[in-house]
Amino acid sequence: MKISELELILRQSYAFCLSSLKSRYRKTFAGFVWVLLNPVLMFGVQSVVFRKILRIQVPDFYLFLVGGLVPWIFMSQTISMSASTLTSNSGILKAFRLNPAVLVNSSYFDNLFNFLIATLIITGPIIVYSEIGPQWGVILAPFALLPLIVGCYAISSFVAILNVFYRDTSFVLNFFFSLFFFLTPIFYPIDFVPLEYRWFIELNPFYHLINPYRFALYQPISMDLLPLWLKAFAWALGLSVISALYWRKKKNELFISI
Amino acid sequence: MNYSSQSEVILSAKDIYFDYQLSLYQHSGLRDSFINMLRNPWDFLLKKPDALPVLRGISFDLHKGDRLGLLGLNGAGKTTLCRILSGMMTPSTGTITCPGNVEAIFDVATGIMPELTGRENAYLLARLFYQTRDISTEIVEEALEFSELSHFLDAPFKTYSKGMQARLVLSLISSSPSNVLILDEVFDGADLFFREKIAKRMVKKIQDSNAVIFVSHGPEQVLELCNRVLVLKNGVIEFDGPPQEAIQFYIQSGGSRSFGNL
Repeated sequence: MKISELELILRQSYAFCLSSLKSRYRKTFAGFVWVLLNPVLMFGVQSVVFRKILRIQVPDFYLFLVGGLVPWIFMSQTISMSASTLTSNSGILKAFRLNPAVLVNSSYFDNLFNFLIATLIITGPIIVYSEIGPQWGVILAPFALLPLIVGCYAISSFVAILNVFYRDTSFVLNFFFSLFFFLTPIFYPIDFVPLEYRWFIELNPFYHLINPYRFALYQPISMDLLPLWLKAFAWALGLSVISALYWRKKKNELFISI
Repeated sequence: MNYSSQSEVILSAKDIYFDYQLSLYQHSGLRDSFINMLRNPWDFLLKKPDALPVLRGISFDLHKGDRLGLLGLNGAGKTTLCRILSGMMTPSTGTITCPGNVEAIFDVATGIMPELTGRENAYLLARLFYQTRDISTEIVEEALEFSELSHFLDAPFKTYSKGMQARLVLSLISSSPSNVLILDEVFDGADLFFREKIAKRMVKKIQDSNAVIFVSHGPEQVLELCNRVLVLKNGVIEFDGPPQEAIQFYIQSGGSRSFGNL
């Protein structure tokens, strides 16, 4: 039976991802524990620093923070890890015919799986014990995550192939993320940003991709989510088009440079 | 000189050209590019990188039953041609027509997941290498038995020597016949004892496959396995004919160095 290229990529990505998960969690829970420990520690430290020391005044700050921080950690870690996906697997790519997208997909699904588990385990209790209590908006959280998942995939696949041609991409990304952690409203609301600087936030895709998810967790259920979601999805689509065009241009040259 | 049989065409390459951009050899970083852009913005935006022609007008038909050897010095374009034929890369211009699958292997000492066992790697490789075909458990298990790695099969792949890795991969890729099979210097990784054993099995696989393209630096293997040989030089087919004549042509045209003492 002849199957389409897309179906083949999805099948192979699934097989590769399962093996990757098995490899990571083999015999020890250390890999899994770290997946949870990393956001928990980040959340703990930032809660203390921003709430107790810097005394940021935001209602229900812990819920506000977790709604921005956990997706930020997912995006920054996934994108940083994706940068080396193709270069670190150059042996496989050179050994036999394998669409490079399989490696990018596998790495991405692996991180997405970890993110969804971490979200359930960390965010769940904070929602339950928050000052405002669970809101009906929470049921829209999976829908609100969709642009973030699409947009993050687009950036991850873009940096994966970029790193084949520019080997310092990981270095630049680390620098970039350490800057953008402060330039993206994660631990502070956008209302804190003076009006004359808001244009900069409007140009920041990370803010738009995270915003609908945080809104779903933090705000009462309302139709106000829809414009945020549409804006986020427009960003995700735009990033996907740029990434797809770059892949199309560079895919053939990949085997020379890798 | 051109040579072809009268049987059914399995794969057809028409006027294949392929150029490398020379800039791709220079692994400059994003930071270098940023500085270069500031220094010479017009060059950065408008200057086209120089191109290195690798394949220049390659045309041939692969017929059912062809055991095609590819000979050529390093840099002649053999691996690039094989990668294009296998679908890994697309030519700058020209077309490849092949209604069936093309399966190709370029390196047999590659572990996919070093942390996983040899057995687990074999099952994953079967799914990735054989692409659209479903390879049964029996076929993989038979290949594992053939590899004679016995209790090592359940040890992590990262503990294998290069020879053991080659045994596993060669056993697997020789387990099921292909429509078109491309083998690029794949026997070089195996140890001497296993090389003889796998050669017999590979001969059977080659006989059962519709067509095979075989790249090797060893004249004995070319003579044993091939019934037709292309000699490539500087990206052009210089000879297309029977193996014995091809080897003579190759030696006379300066290719004897890669054959050692012939």
